Amino acid sequence: MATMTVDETVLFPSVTTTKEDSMIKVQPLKAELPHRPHAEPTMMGISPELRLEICEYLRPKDLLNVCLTSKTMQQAAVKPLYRDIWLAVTKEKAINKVASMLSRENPGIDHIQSCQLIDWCEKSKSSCPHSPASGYSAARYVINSLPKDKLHSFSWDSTHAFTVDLAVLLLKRQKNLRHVELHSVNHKEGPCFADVFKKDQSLLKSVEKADSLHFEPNCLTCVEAAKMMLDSCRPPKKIKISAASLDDEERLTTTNDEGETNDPLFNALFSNFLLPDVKPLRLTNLTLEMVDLTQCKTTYANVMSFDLLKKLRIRNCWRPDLFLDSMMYPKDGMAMHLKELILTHTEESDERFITGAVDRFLGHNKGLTNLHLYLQNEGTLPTLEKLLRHGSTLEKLYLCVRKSPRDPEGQFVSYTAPDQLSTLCHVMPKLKQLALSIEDWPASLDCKFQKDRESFASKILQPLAKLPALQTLNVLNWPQIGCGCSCLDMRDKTYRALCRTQATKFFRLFKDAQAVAFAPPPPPSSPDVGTPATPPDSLKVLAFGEHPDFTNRLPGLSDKDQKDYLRRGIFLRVQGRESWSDKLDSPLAVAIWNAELQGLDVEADVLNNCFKFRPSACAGDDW
Amino acid sequence: MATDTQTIRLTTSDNVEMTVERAVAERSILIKNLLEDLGGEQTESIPVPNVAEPVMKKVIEWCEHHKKDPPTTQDDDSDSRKKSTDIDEWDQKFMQVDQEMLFEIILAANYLDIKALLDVGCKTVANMIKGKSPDEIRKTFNIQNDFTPEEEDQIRRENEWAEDR
Repeated sequence: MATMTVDETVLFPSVTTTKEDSMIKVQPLKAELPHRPHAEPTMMGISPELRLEICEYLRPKDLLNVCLTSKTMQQAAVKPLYRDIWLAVTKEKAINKVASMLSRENPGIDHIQSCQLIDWCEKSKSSCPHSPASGYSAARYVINSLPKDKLHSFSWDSTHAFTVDLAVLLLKRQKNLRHVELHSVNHKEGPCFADVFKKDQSLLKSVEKADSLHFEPNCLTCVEAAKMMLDSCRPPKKIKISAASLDDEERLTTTNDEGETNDPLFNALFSNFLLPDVKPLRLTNLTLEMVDLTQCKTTYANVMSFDLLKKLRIRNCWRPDLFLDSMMYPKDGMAMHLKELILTHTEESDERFITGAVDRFLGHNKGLTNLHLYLQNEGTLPTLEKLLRHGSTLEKLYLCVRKSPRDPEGQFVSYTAPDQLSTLCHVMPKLKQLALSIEDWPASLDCKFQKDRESFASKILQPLAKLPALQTLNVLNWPQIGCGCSCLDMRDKTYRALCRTQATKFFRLFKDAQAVAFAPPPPPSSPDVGTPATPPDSLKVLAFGEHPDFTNRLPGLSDKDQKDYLRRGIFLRVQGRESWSDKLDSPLAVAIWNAELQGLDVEADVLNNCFKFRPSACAGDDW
Repeated sequence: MATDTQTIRLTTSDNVEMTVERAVAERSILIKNLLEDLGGEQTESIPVPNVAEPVMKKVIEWCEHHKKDPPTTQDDDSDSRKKSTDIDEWDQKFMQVDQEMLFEIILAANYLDIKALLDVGCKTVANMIKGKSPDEIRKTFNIQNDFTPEEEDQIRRENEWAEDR
């Protein structure tokens, strides 16, 4: 604790000097630890710092309750409750909640460091039928009312574009931003960011402390603004670039008749890093979306040192394989500390390049804790051998490989042979979250698991139960409805109820299987430290279905209830109790929000695999 | 190395002398720093004026079990802020004590600067809070409600934004 170091310095100097000077050792050398009045061993008797330390481990819903217990407890709870907030602002009445929060009496608002506004329409990802007005007015309200210069990060997570006005207002009021977002804004009628920055250079002062940047330019002039930010901020640690809102001629590399290539986005942002005296970018986090990487060997990979890189996300870029290859033999700094690789690729014709690249990359590196692969062609599944290199460190694994692009049947490629699944699960002692398609998942909901007990147990259950730390399992393929079920034209409600029954059953079977898999050795021979005394019983969350980008139909579900975006089910079991993430027996969500998952109190962010870009992937701290 | 089995003596607040392996006692950064500052063999007993024997016994039991743990690295990466309340099994059992002892351990760990033990203690208390209503929390920890009904309403309103989490 901080207070302690003070005491030590007060106390120890006398001791050290005596030690040095043995001549003056009149009094015997005496060791003594600092004395201080002993606090009461109760919640109210300990120091405020310790109460805060305890509250740091609590989730929002518990902090809310702590706030209500007493004034002293409220003091401890508001800091962690407010440090990192997100506000849902889609509904019109949301502004009321925002206004109450921003009340002057609220001790919490001084602690807000990161604020995320979420304006998401559940209906669809791309187009949104509701008006952006409520989101904008809430944003204006929040930006105007939050204490000045305290924010480290402000994120706009919405299907609607941000506005230049709001961005300017934010920069005027907050001069300590660590994470800055330059969003796609609709500026057909108004000025672009670059125009505003040129007119008022002082705005760029507000990004001086930032080292985390998120750019999603709308046009090349916006890229110019991004460049101005890049030149004004600290040496960046985190960069996220999305070219999703640029036109193809603005983001794609071209080659002229003389064979010279031109990459407009790279040139505008980073070409000065190619100069001999300029130090390379040393990033910890890098995210690239829809960026053209065909020339990355001489461009992006040439201006970066990878020695600090921890997280790499590449989403729907052109030729990501070339970037991965460049990273293996970089000009500067090997990626020795890479912990996370998220690769999404839906440009099906290019995928033949990826096949080898992922394998090469996994074989070249070691120590990934988080791997998400979201690919769409048969053959892109990495070989088990290369994946197993990361077995001892992996904590999260998301593997979704479709048999063919845009397959309406939703068929996957996976490690399906029983020995493969078994091999995989056997070597991942730390794996907490797994998302995988499991081909032989019981074909029928109504049959539950018994009918096919033998093969289910040996092919799926027993292999999975070898994972001692598995908390969250996301079975990517949906349970099929079929054999022996009379009601093929099922209603949504029935379907969910059956999913739920299946989940309940699975929790029980999984617990039993883990008990067998981790049974202590029969005689009390040498006590092995590695084997826990009681079986783990680790599974807490079970979810079906996958990425909401896909629009596949559920067989057996009535036409009326088929949705464009499949609803996903979360089944949750906490402290031995089974509960559902929704009170009304519909534990389902269209896309699962990060914040929703935090509320679960179980590590389940693998379900948040809709690592969307615009809306910004997630709060600044999270990527 | 000879230092492997070196022992030191500690005198607790209730004047009980305990002999502890040096490597074990050095899980406490406070003791470690003190020993470093003194240098050489420490023959005299070190008074630990804030910790009574029963608590010290527990603390040493914990340090014994964790003596081979790698030193905690200060990973100030921002994503480590999302703290998990997972407690390993041995620690869970270790923390099955009455509330007074639990807070005694927390106080001692804080005083002696044993970060990992402090974390386990705080997590244990956090787990006792989880899922409880304000009233249940008050009962569990003997907390007096000093809010007026109006103040309570005000707090509820202020925090309404966080309710659906």
